[in-house]
Amino acid sequence: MGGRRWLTKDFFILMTPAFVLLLIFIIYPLLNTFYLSFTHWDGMTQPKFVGISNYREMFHDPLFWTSVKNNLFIFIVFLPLVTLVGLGFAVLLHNKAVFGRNVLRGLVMLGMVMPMTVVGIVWMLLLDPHAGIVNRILEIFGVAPRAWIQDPSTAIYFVILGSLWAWQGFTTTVFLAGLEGLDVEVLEAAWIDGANAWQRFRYVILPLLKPALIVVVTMSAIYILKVFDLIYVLSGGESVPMYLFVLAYMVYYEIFYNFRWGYAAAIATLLTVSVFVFSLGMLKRMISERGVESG
Amino acid sequence: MRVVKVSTRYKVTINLVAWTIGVILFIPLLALVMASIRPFAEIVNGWWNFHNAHFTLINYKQVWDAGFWRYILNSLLIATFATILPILIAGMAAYGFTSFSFPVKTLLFLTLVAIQVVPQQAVIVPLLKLFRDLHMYNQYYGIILVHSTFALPWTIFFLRNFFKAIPKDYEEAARIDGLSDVGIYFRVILPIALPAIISVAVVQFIFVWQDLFFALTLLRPDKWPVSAGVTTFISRYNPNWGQLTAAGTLSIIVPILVYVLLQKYYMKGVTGGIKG
Repeated sequence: MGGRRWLTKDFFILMTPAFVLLLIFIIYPLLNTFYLSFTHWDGMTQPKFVGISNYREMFHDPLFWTSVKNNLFIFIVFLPLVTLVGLGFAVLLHNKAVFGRNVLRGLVMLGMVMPMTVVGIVWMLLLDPHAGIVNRILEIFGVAPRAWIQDPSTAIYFVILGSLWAWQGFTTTVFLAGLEGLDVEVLEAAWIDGANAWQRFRYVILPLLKPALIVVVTMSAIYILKVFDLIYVLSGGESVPMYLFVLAYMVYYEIFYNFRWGYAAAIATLLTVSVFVFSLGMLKRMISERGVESG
Repeated sequence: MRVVKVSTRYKVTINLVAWTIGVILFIPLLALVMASIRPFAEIVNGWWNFHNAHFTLINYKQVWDAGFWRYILNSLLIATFATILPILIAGMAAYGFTSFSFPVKTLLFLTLVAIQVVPQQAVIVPLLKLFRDLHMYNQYYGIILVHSTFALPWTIFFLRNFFKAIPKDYEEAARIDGLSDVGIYFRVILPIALPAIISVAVVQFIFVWQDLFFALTLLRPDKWPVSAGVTTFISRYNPNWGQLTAAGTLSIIVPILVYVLLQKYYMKGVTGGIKG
């Protein structure tokens, strides 16, 4: 490799389509969103440059703060939960004493391959005060039935549960792949050294799972920061109740209900920056591991 | 490893735990299907209640007659083309990356890696304007192009890692036979890379099938895929569970089938990010 002449017709035939598309549909709009976040714009007339007015407005917008609060709450509950659940399932499904592991692996992925709107419908049914099985099961433990989704103080758990059911398939699968890639000799050495099960897990397996852990935490963080479908499903054709707003839904709402495209761009920018911040660790690792230079 | 004695009690316990979890994970799907094949009056008393149970396909008929088949056709169309197109284009670029060295290679590659995580919301405002100006709004090819582009960064990354592992001898031999780079890509590299391409295809197909945000924003309801179409059956205050779950079941048949048939490839695609 290395020395081949690149200024050839073939080189450009191979590379041009991809980068033209990326330029038109991602790179240009991404930069443009950043610019538009400093404008007032209804989507029709010319955008008017207004400096940081949109960002200043956010601080006084109760809808914005509700969204941030919801995003944060979902994030803080979901992230450790989905990581631990994934790790636990992976360890369980990696255990050779478990029968039918392939069937179980398939079951884990069910929620992962269907549209989140259908996941939403399923959980609406499960949590329904009358037709839902969750209330019936809780009744056995003496918990009175309630309208989980209709109640503003508990509706957010619907989002967390639905996301958890759907996304644990990803975290479990990534941890499983990590476990399967472990070096048997290292484990054997730890075994011979007399480490017990917990010590082997804590001091040998867990450090070796670090790459998988980074992927899981990063991808889960990105996934949950962008939560949108499960919120949209609750709108029932109208707008979502205000107490359930999240940033991704707010972008949609400001575009299609308020026609404040500049403001929507500002919120989208904020969302994008948070996604990038949480991705940095993983992206850096991808770059160094894959060796950009080695081609 | 040395032979470890496993007690029967340990075996029973761990299987009990694993299969209890398995059943819990399966309940949501069971609920969806069960509610879809029972009359409304019975669902309200609980789909798990088999006392005096009746089964019916009336919900499916109603949903189908209400035009749900349209959403399925839209999904099939969009997901199929938004899978084939990016694979062709990403494969070409990935091959360009592996077989050429060029001045801004590192920069381009870093851009690709970073772009992977751009959320759909980050582009939607300018995209709506662009779509209006270019008359791409509410056109199948518009959303297909956008989905294809969003697939490119990770697909190029994934395929490049695979291409790198292909021995150079194949290429050299083909070059001696007089094939051009484009020819080598189509006749030599693509066939060898078929497993990787299937992995990418399955992941991308299922991903596009699931997408809601671009569908809602770039298409009118008549061109909506199932992910958005299914929401037209939702009503906040008195849900018609039968129709809702029948529509939901119809929406997941294709992706579940694809997943079941190509599970091995899907898993490879999903975990590609860590094992390379």
